[in-house]
Amino acid sequence: MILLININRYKLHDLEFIKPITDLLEKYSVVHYKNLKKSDIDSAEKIIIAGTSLKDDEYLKDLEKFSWIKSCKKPLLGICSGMQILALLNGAKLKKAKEIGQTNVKILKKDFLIHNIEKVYSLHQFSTTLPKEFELLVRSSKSIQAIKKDNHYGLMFHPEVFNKELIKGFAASSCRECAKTLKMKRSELIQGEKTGSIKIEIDNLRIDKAYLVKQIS
Amino acid sequence: MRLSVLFSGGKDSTYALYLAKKFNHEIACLITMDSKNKDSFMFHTPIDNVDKISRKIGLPLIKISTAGKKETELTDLKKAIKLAIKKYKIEGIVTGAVASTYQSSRIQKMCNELDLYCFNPLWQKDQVELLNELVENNFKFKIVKVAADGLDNSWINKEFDKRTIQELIRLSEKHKFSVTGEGGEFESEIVDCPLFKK
Repeated sequence: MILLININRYKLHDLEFIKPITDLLEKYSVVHYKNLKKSDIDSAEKIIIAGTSLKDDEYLKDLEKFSWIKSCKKPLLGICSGMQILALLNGAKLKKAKEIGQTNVKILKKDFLIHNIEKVYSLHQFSTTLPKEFELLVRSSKSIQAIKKDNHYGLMFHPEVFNKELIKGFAASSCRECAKTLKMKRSELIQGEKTGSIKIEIDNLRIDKAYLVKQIS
Repeated sequence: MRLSVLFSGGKDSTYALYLAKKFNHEIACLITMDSKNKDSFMFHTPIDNVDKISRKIGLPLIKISTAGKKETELTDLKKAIKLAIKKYKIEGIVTGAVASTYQSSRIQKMCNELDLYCFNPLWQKDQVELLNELVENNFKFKIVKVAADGLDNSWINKEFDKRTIQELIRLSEKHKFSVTGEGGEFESEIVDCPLFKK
């Protein structure tokens, strides 16, 4: 079960920022951050914090409601505002970087989940500085676009528009499903392991590496 | 919130209006761009019946004419939105954008410049789901223009029902066009819907 945390101020925005994500998930529950209970987090296998509209910044006034993230060991994916929340709680600061629409990005470090993206859909006025202990995976000319620490990912862009496979890959419950979703080839994976360009965070995504190498072709 | 809908009288903008009202927003006016460029990437043409449709819905219409040139059509749209802000004190815009990042990112940028909320309630919606939802919610609409391989003139004035949708899906798969017509493969016009005053 994926817990999808909604941060929208207006419900009409749920059709724009929540539904495109739930359309990609099989088992999920959606909870607004203002109604979030400890039991919601405890019963989730993985957590996604969705983004919201350009003008909506109400969540920034309620950062203390997300303080549980710091001790959360579950896989977590913060999308746009969700990445801002993740980064701010880890000591980063907002950084003015308006990007709206299709944006070209560069992968700085390949990761199991993020290894072959070139264009993304952006909808933000502020990105963040890189929080301490986080790795910078992807950036655009204006901002940091993907960061990671352990099994916590932050994406400044909206994967539900151009990079749907990232959400499906994050949500995948088995390694076979995940590898297929990401269209990762066996040769890519093995080469990546050898060169160290793909740091395989198998455990974080509940994936068995040996099984994965054996299964995908 | 007081909102204005970017309105063409087609199925998508009318359904976006319907959803905004369903979520308890106050729709102050409709905005239509009367583009003289039949091939505009931004605006729906033709809009022959948009005045009549807005009267049936019972909402005031701001209709601005534009040559539809890429360099100036956005400036013209901005004028129309500014007029809606001045006259109706709107705080946000609703669009019927489904998948076009070309249209939606330009409107997002404009709303950002004008400090308005931007709502896209059909964003990324599955195209077949959208067509079925329209029919299920008693939206009657017809095709008024075709511009795709596989869609001949026999589709003009054809009203949509479950059977027509199946036929359109079949053709869209065969000829690889958007089944909602968002890329201009066809343009639609609302014939009747729950928003019309009886």
